[in-house]
Amino acid sequence: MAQRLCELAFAWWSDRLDPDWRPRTRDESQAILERVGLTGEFWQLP
Amino acid sequence: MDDRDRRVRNVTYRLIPELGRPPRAAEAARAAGLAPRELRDAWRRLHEAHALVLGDDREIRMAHPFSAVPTVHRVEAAGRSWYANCPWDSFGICASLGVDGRVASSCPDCGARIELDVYRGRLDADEAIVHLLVPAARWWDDIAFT
Repeated sequence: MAQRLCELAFAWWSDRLDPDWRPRTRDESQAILERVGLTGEFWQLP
Repeated sequence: MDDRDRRVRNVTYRLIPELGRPPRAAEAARAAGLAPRELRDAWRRLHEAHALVLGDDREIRMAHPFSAVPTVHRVEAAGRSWYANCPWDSFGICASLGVDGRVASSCPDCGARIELDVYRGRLDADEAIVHLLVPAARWWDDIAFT
């Protein structure tokens, strides 16, 4: 589980210090969760 | 989030690797070329947009994945020691800095010390377990608890 969380962290946070960072849409964030295999009701963003 | 607030957000985050922590309001106002009140207003809007989290003192408490206050989640990376908000954010500090690192925390059940090395985006050990309590739909109901 920690390994997957690390994988998620790199997909989720890698852009945070980009000088031209822009906020993601809800669907873009959901797609990241799905890409690392985190699916199901627990992982559904509002 | 309009372009003006996005610029304030990005100036705020730019200061994190420079300072080794999220900036104080006065530091961010100076870097953004804003009056303190303008900076505070922008930070309040960014807080409401979940782009950062302010404490009761209106200073940054969390600039995800970085914590501005001491926590049990420590990260050694890029030649510095950082505080993270949670295990996910600990890995996120390595991710956002684009470096390898060592993540340290303690087991919330037995108190045992936990240390994991992050190397090229992966952990050196597979046996660690992270228990996430709050479903994604409720992360922001109480982000400090999450």
